[in-house]
Amino acid sequence: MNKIVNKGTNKFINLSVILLVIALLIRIAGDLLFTLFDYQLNIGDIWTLGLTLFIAVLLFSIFINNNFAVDNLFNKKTVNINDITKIHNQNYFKELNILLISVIILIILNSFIPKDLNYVNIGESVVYKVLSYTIAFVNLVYVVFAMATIFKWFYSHKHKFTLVYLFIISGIIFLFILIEFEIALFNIVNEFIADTINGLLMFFLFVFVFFVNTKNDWITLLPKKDKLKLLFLSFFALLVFGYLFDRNTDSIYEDSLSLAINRFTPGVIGLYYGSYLIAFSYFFKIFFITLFSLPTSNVVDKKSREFNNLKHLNRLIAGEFNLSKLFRTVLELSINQTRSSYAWMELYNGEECDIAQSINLKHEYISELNVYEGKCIFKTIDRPYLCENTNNDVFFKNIGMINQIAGSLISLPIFDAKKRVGSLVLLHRDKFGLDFYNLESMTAFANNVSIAFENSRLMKQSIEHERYKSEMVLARDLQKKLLPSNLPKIKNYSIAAFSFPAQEAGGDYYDVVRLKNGKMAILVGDVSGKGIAAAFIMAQLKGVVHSMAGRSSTGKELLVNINNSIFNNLSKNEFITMSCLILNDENGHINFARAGHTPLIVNEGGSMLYYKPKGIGLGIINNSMFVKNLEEIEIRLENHSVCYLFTDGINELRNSEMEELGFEGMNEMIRLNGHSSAEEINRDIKESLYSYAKDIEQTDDMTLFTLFYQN
Amino acid sequence: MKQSNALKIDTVTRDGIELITIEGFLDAHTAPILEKHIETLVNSNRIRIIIDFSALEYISSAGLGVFMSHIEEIRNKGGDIKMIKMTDKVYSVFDLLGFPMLFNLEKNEEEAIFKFNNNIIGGSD
Repeated sequence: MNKIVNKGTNKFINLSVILLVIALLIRIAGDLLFTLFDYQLNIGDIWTLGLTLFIAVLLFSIFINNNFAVDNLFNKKTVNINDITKIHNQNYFKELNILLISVIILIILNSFIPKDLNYVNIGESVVYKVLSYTIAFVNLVYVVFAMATIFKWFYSHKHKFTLVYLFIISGIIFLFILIEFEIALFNIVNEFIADTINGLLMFFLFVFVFFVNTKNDWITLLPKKDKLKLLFLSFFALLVFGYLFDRNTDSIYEDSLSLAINRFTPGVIGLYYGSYLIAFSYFFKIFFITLFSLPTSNVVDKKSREFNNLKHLNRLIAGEFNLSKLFRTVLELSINQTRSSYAWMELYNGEECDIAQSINLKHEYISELNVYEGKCIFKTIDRPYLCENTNNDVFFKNIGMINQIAGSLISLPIFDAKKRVGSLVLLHRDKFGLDFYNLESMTAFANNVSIAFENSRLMKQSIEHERYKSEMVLARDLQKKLLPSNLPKIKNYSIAAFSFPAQEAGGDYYDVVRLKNGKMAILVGDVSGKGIAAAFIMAQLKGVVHSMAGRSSTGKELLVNINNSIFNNLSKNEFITMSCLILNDENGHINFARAGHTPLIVNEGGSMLYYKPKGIGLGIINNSMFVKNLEEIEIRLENHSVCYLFTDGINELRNSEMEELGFEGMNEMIRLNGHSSAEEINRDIKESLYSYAKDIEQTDDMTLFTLFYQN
Repeated sequence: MKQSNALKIDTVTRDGIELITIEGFLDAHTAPILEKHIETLVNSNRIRIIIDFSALEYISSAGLGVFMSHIEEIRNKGGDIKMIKMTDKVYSVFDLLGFPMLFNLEKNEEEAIFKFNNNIIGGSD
């Protein structure tokens, strides 16, 4: 976008320059023409005036648009938002220097006007004419340039009326020109009246510009050095523009320069003295503002420094989690701010006080310094404390080590939320070297440090939490992958299953496998433990199940083989509960074995049947005990019965009153009819479970495997 | 709603038998406390342990695992863990898992002590 703006501006400048050159050429041509006539002829003068004004306006617009004079702060790519004031001030001084240097050049140039220039030889000698016209032109260019600069200064501190005021100022200059022109050429109005009007206008202009020159607070905030520079420059400007104003009014100086200017730009003398008057008024105000702001320079500088330090510190706090780097910076800023001699940051760890960072003192030395009678001195000071004179202080006058090296000190407590974690200590060599302004600004620093502490801790906690969360997500994903994505179609049986993992939960498992004899086995299991550990076990379990299925012919055999396999891979307190339902044929004959798992519930036409054959969980006991205590039973299903295998996440589900669903509660949910598939049944049960425990965070995996016998 | 409910443990030594009363919730969060306690007893050879469950409100599968951690070592040293006074609810959890076949789950202290004196260890039928 910058490029486009610049291009447009450049095009405009080029156009203006072209027009300017054309205007000048026309002017020269016109002049040549009119020298054939008496130069007193009005038409010639009107023509000249018109062209001059046109040239002046063109010059003005060129200067106003010129990027060189005013750098648009916001177009510059490299502008740092924190340096805007500095850049503004730099630009101002740059422009001011240009303005004053060029005026000096102008004055020097003016001295080259031939002293014997008069009405005659200006018309006759080409050399004289060219020379005088050139110098006059340079004067015109300068006066327009000066106006453009000052208008731009006004505009850069604009408010809602600025444009109006600038318009008024331009209008007054135009009036000057009008009056002068009238006096010079037509002389209709009484000269005395015209002069009076002129004088009043001048006075008005001076006062108007003086009062309209506002928003100069930036001067008050300049560093002292720059203020003095501005004072000197504005005074010089006053002298120069005062002189130029004087020179261009009322032709006291009936000399060759005036003559040259008048011949080149007749009647436009108002432009000159009006502009110089504006410049004079402008610098008049600047001078006095600067002068009167000098006494407060020191305080402004101090506050400025404080503000910048705090700004720097704030930026650091937001981004720096490396506390020791932060401490270092804080100590450096503190020393810079208060002109202290020594500073350190101590941190409290139980009864210890450790020195985290220090400036100008060795850690070992400070460790002797900050302990008195076995206690950490500054730990006992729990609020910001100023000791103006260590020799006179109730507390410190007895601590010889401290009042030997410091005449005054400040101690600031550092907190992490409500907990006191350390202190920031500043020592100043002189008594009364630190005052309560220092205490005030240092307290702000210390607060920032406390915030940084808290931020750093919270950040660490947050990272830990994220890591924990992602571990959980990983476990959950793993679990999902280990569960079958599609259940096989089995004649006369409609089967469906769902498994809802909880946040922190062990692994629930279900699967459908084919035994050695071709029979289908439905398995539902629950791994004890939580998180990644449980997910790993689940993965192992799946592998074992699939390899053992092909070696087993009954449910009991399968469970025994599984137990054999995993027993040595589980630690003592890890175990797995599992139920195994075998489909013997297509006519409702099933076998059921249960290794420590929840019972099998069968809904037979509205009656609930519970099957809880003997059995110990997997991985708890070695095989002989396990085998001895495992019972496999035969069940004959009635047509349209529904079998439910589930994990205890369902019967132990709690509602908002912390009441467990229990087998009774489950009865109600599963006592259904009118469904045509296991999928439909599960859908309804899911809804019931959801509404039972809505708003409660799930604490255990919930799994349900539904087998609907339909022959 | 995750609750970090507490587990309280009280131990009384009497006639060479450690009577541990547990109160509150035995789950994944509190199980380590009990486990450490038992470990301390085992390390000092106090291996005749009776655990009173009457004040236990809730037990989860993680809580069940605690008892398996040291039982083998205890029994190898000639001791045992016997469990008494379970509420019906707590008993049903142990029952599902098959614990009655592995441990002596008794109604009261006397029966447990009787079994200690007569060297009847759970799960050794």
